[in-house]
Amino acid sequence: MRTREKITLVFRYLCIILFGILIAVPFYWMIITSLKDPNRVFVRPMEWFTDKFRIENYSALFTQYHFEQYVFSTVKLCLLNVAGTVLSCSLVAYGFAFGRYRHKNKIFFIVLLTMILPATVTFFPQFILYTKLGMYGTLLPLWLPSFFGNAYYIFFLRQYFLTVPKSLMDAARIDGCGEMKTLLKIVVPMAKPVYVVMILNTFIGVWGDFFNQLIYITNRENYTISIGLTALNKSYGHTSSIMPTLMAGAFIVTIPVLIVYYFGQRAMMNSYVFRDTGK
Amino acid sequence: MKMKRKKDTVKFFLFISPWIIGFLLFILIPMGMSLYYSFTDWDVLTKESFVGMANYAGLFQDPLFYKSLQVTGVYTLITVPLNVFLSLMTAILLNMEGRFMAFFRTLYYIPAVLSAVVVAILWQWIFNSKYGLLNDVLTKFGIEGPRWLSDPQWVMPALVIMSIWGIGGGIIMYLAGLQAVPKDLYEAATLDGARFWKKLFHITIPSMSPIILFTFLTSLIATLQTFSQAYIMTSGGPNHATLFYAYYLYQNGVVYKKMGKACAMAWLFFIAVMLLSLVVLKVSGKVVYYESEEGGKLA
Repeated sequence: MRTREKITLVFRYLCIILFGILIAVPFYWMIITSLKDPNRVFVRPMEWFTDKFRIENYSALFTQYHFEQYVFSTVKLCLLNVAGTVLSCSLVAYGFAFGRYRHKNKIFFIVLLTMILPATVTFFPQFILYTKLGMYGTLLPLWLPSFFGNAYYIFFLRQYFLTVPKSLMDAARIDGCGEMKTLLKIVVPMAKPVYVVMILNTFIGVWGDFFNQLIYITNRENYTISIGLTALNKSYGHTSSIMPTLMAGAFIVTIPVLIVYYFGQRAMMNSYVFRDTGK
Repeated sequence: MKMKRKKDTVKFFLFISPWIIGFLLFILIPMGMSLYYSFTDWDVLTKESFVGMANYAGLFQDPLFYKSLQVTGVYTLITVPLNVFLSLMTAILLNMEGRFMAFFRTLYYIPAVLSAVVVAILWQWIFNSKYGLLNDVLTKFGIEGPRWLSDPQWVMPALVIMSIWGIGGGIIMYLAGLQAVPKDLYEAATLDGARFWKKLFHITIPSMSPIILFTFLTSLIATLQTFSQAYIMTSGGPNHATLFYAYYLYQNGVVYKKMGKACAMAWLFFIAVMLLSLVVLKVSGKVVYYESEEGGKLA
């Protein structure tokens, strides 16, 4: 029995490593291309290594293609969205978790319904609205909505809030805490894992967003990295001179995602363990 | 006492007011407006004119509309079941403790959460017919690789291959679910002499079914909205072979400025997705196994 288990384990590790390599190769290809001499990119058979790490492909992004601007406006959008999501979802989830109103759960059901509403459906309607309000061409459409709650995180936060022991809530009330103070001092600290996941996911989501930014970003000063990279890709076509720089840009965009998911995976996994709330 | 009740109600609505405003402003009002515009001819710049059902009728006579349905349908039918299955298998494979598991989990997971732009640009380069990675490797095996993205026959398989790279999307959720499967079930099954496949179909899949349903539904809805691949890699071509529904909708609205038609397409999509979700939930209601009777554990 023991040897069989060992064989299974070895086989399993082999599978993990083999598939891992298959998944990693495109990454490797991206990184190695980003370090190559542009003249050595379009060659056959392809070269798996480079003679020299050409960091200048990376600096070209900043000296020639205004990448620092793109990074700046992307980070700005990310932070605004994180702030908006945390603020609005906390309030709304608190309301749904602890508020006292007869039809509370019926309203909450509508929140759940909006979760499956595809973005493609609301997208043009919203576009029309922003145009009518004169917001088209500004960055407002890309962060303002986050201040009005996100169904997905409202749901997750509410589920978590409901697990806060009732005795704790009562104690706070006896101590004379108002609702806001209870929310800030008791409920939010207890839901820290969800907040971690929420902040990371919102950040990464905006960081990698494409569709919305494509529509609403009209002038170059506001370009985000998604739009900047796409423009670079389209305007130069796939010529060998731009390829290393393009891959360098792609790699820079990838770095934060790598960091977030390497260090955040435990927190994310825990937040998905669905809790019995006894609702 | 009545005063208290009233105060509670006001308080409740104050707390959820951001959501109510957002719901009205970003969902209900725009949806209503777009329903109205779907019955008009409107180019955004000038005033709209009412045309009744003409946009809807026009769509059903538009060969490109049918093409976009076909492209989206075929791609969804292939990739969604494939991804749900492979993703679950990957999670089962990765569900163990070990020195390098955090590293491998991250590696498997990253392609799924990478920016769509990066994925598209990277794979466009990999599929490059002359100097790309894929055809170079194929040459080593003596195979002359196709001109992936510029061949109408091969562009769809290319996008499917690319989507398989991102199968890790569900694994964090699956891993969480796997750890909640009661261990004693497996032990009992092992004592009874059950092998891997038997355990998979009789224990793992049934106890994970709410999560599988959730990932199936979300990936179904996401895949039906495939856009960035078409926009960045193929521009809907070659010969409309990748004219995805969302891309055609975008073209109508933004490029051709046919807002009425775009709104009609959005509404048809909305109705289709609602019906589809309903069917999925209805069918799954017979299959999915919930541990507690309320089933509220599922998101």
